[in-house]
Amino acid sequence: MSFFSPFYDRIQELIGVKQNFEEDFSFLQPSGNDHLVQFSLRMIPSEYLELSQYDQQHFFLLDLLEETGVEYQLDANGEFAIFTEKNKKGIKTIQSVMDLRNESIAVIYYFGVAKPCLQLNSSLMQSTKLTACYLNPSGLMAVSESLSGIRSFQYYFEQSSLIFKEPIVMKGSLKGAIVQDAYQNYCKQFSSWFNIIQLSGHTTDGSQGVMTIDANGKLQIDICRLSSFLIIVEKVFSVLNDKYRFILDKHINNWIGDQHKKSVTVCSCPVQVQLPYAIEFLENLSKTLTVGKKPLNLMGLYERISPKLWKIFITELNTANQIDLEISSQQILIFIHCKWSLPMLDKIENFLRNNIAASFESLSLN
Amino acid sequence: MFDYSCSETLLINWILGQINTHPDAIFPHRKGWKGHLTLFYPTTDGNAYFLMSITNKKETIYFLPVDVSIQETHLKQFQLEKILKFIKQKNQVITSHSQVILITCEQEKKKIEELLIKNRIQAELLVLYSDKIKFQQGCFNNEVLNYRLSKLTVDPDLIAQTIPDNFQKARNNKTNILFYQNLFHVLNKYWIQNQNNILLETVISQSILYWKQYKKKQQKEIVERVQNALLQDLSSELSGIIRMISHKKKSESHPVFVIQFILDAKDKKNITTWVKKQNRALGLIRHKSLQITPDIYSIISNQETDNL
Repeated sequence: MSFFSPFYDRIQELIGVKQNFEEDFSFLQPSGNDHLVQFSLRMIPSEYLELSQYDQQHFFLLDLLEETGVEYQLDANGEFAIFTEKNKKGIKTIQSVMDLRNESIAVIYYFGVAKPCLQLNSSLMQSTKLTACYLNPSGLMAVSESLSGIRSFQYYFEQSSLIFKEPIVMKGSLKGAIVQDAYQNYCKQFSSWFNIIQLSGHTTDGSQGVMTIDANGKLQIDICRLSSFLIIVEKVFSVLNDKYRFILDKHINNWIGDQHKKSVTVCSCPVQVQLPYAIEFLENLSKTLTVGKKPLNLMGLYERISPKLWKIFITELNTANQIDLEISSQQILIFIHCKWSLPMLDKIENFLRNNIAASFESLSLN
Repeated sequence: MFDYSCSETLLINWILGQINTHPDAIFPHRKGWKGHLTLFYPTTDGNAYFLMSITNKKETIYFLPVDVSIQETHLKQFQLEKILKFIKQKNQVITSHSQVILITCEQEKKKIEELLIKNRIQAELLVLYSDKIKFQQGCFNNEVLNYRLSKLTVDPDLIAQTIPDNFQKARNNKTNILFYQNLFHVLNKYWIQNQNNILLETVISQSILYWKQYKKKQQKEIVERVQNALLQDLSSELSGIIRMISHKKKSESHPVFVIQFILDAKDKKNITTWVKKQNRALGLIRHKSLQITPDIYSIISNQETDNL
């Protein structure tokens, strides 16, 4: 039994789909039966950690309600939370199941008309309690292997003239018959700048639905069997879970202060990011990361600590999470001090891949 | 050419940089190496030194960074037996094989060597140069580590600042700047969280990783230094942003300083103001090093007189 079998059952139970419909493809028709799944990092405040698992989830949902006005009802076992929205006529427009079994990643499934589903998802992602997971190009690539082929893709890379003397821009989208060849060529020729942010393709079950996967952890499809859809959801979950687990194990700078032994222990190291093209204006990059303006919303301080190295302390304006960076022209070290800074790491990785060009040293992050 | 010079913290940071997941690290995680940082008090006079123990449960290497300011009485205590005794007192694990290695920089190596010879101390001495790191005396007992060391390339300008400087020994403004940068970073968190009335000592303790290892007297001295800096040197830059008020729990108790934020973090304009003010405050500390102190001024004046 896969990790997502209970999730599948819970969705079936909520929507009330019978197995027969699911098997003969009539389960999903193009109008109003769209699937959407959002992967997001959920941050349980440290003061809730002493509570029972059920209470933690319950308080998390109450916080979410307070911030967004969306009320998810927690199941008795505390594993899933349910939300249903009805229109004035009493017809269900959105049905949603939130999988809360993983301590870091919440998988939110929406079923209904695409537009309201996307609107609801967007308002949930505004909350400080949920942050969309970042799927980097290699993550997207790994997921695309579960599709029958790539049908279209979008790419985005834009350097700033404040940071590079000769900035490079490579952004656009492609669809149609040339996609497969173009994709292979771009990967070879422009490996450092070819930054995919969205791709789509058909599922392998023959349903002719087009699945779209976004870098911000969002999966959408119109016609598909739920079971086929969840196979891809499971693949994405595994990519993200491996990535976050690796960071938590190896890169959280958990200096353990031992009062008894009177020492602090280091058992981690910063995330090391290699830059294929040297940054020409390091101070301007430091400014960009600390100025407190949109879209990054990061404030902080920077200081030149050696002729080649800048130290940057940054704080996220919405969540007050913190991270430190050390920037030299061809390398960036990212110091993460607690698991609550994972969304910030995603934000920084996203920024570096979109605007600088960076290769993360560990395989899990590549 | 100038001999390469650096602080003891940078030496410790270099060691810390070798305990990681990187394939060419000297002490890779995959081989079970872990590091413990503690403050070593060789005598009872309150002077503390960084002691970095790196262990893989079978063997332990104790690194002690040294510079010429070290007192000979302290240096004499930097011996395996004394360190093991200290480690035992701290209830830390002692492995069957252990080794003490002194580490210094190129500029200080001659003087340290002389001190070791003078005091007849047999010790391994590792030296950080601008482009390499090598043993001036001795070697690792473990041949694998010698091999990994020989393969290393070094650029001291890129050594990660994993731990902050030893603020107790802050001798230069870089230490000060990094400390205050860290202090403002801690304040930023409280500010964004809309918390007010924060004890100055709490903020300082969060800015120094090994704060709890300082003795009470040293902690008090540091709090007083920071308190004076915030109330006097940086007061003009931070006025209108934060205020410090003295608070007594009881009339007879010692006053403690509490930091209050004046600006509201929810107003986006205030973020720019706060960041600018912090940068100006750091700039003030930075430029202090450029000012000529009376002592240096008198030396320059004398030299000029001599030249005349």
